[in-house]
Amino acid sequence: MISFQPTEEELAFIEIARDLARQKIRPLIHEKKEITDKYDRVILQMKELGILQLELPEKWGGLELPLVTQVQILQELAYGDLDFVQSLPGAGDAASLFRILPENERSKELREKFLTEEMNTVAYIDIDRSYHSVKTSLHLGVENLRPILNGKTPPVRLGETCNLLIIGLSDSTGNKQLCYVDDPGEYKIPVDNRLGLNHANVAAFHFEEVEIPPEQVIASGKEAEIILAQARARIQILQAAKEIGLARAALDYATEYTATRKAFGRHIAQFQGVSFQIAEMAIEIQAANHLLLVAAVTGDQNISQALPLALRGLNRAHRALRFATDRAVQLLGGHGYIREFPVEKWMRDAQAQVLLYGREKELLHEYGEWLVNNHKEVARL
Amino acid sequence: MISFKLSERQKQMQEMTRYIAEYEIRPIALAAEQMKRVPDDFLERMNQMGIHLNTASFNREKKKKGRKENEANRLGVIAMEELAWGDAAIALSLPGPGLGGPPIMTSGTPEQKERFLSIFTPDEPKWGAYAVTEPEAGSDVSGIRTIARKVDGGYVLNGQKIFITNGKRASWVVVFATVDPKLGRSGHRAFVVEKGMEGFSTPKIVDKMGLRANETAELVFSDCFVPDENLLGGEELYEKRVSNSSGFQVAMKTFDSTRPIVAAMAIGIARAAYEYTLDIVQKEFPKHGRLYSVAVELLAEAEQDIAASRLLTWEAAWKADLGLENAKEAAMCKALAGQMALKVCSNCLEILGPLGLDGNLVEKWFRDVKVFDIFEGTNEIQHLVIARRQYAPYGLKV
Repeated sequence: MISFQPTEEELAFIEIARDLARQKIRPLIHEKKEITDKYDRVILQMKELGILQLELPEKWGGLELPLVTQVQILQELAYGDLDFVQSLPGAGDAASLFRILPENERSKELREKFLTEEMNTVAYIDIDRSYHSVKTSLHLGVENLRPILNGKTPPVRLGETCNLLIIGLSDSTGNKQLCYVDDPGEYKIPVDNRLGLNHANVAAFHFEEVEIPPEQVIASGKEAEIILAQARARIQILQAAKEIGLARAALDYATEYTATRKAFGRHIAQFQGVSFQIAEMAIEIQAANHLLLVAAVTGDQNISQALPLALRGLNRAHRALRFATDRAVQLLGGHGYIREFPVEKWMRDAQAQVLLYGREKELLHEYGEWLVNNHKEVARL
Repeated sequence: MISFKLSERQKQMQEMTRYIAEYEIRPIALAAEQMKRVPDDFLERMNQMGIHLNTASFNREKKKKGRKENEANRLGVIAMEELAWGDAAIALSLPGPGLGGPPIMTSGTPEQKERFLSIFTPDEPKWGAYAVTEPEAGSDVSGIRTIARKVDGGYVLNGQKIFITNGKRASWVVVFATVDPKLGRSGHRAFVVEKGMEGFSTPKIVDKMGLRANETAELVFSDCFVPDENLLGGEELYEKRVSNSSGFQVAMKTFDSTRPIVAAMAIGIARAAYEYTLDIVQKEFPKHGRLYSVAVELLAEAEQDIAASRLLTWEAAWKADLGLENAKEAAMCKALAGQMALKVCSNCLEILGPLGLDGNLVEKWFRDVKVFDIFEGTNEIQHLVIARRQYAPYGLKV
């Protein structure tokens, strides 16, 4: 039966996340991370509540929540500040990979490595799907049956602080490979990121003739291809949720501002040029949210069927996020442009987020190709 | 639990209406447009099959324990998307209470519900209609000027209504009028004016850009006497709620259940254009090059817009079924669906190029769909409704 009603359990999670976002995360926006321990205290509290391990499988120390529950929680958290959420230590996007990995010797080894105390942050990149256009991008050569990494990765979230880098890519023979690099710090190259998500520890990696030991190849060929595709869909769904959370924050901030700001003797919200933009933002965000929910619900039933829906969900979330954060700055006028107000940061964060998780147009094009090459029934989903 | 799975009833409704749309409605769409009417034998057959233009109802009571969940609004939007996919002009011409149904359901007395809604039987096709718009009052419902003067035993109506769907053929029309324009919204009353009442005429059927097979009438009331028993809800409704401007509220409440229906129809049209064009791109376009690239992106955007609009529409209908306040959601789905459906049809024509000029359904849908961004409240009115709800927590009226 068609229903938009969250479960009791989801409502309880939402409430916890909402309180955290509003009372603990949002106030950190104007704090300098380097000179305060407030960040660490909030992160510790989140860890205790299990908020850092929503996606991780139970065996990996996580809550293993359904996607539909996670997207509602993540929206609430990112409402506090997307940048903060993207900076959280732990498995990061790799949690979705761990969720998919089959139980075997290699995944067991990786799990043990991850669960050791010092191994607490993982960066993950699927090179073939990173929409990187630079010719020098990372590639995996195979010499005497030994995989050799060469080249540069694009900027990766959590790259700066990770102890483990997991890479998905095609090797020189066209086979998919999923492997990891232990202690990747020595290959790290800093990213001069002035745009946004400044706390998300973005870094790139440069490899020259780096051999990957066979035990660090988690999966190859068709198996790797399936794992990468399914992990990617999960990541797209979870990232889209965060984006909608930030878009809602921008909408609410702009609504409150325009409800109190006066010009020409009236509240500026009483000019339709202003209030209609708020309405448009609300529509766009709700539309994106519902497409995301469809992807999440489908993903919980069968992740393979959710691949195009996840692509669609993230594309729409990108669009809603960029639109809402841009409009928020516009509606605040000059105040929107100065750093005293959070909306300029959110606009920058939004753009950085889109760059990290796939260009809007590229996702749209990929989805369109899927529609044309597959079937038309999806229009009825 | 959040779910997008159709219930058994919803699935059956979708399958049945999809079948009728594909095999009964679509094949006569172009001919009906040319004739500017829907063939009588078709309407009689649909009526016998129980395929009605019934825009569901607003459930004002919260679900009681043990009682089966009301799904009338969800069934309504699912059915209307399918029927409009076949052809919106024909769907709008189907017999039934139409947009006049919801105000009778929400505000009529038990006797009125029985009298006006029981006429829709398989024996003979009959229609209901809903008349708010006037030459000088469209979006601004509070500005209506049709006068209802109280006389012994009833009211005398004087005024004019325009753009009334099925207004000429309707057995009755829910008509909004004011007892005194100076009273503003609190002066509004809703009447059920029956065909053949003295002083009630339908002098004109208008020619339109699209939806040409559907009848859009002008109604004139010249000293038209309407008995007290045709005052919707009876005098008690207005005496009780005069401070809440109840006549106006009847009109507004009606929109909460009709806007999702209108949105669903727009979605049906957009889906028709999308599927038609996708089929051509799949079969006839080379799978490379600039044209293919443009088509792929436009189709992806169209499909996404259609799905997003449908979900907003389902949400509005779901809330109505549960008896929850849904004015904002109803406005949201109508605003998005109305606008996106035109964009989808326009982009499909863009993909088809000159093909779209030659007896093509997509160009018809393009003409048909524009009005979905206008009637049941223009896009601008929907934005106003949404904005008002957005600013309500701040105590600000916009």
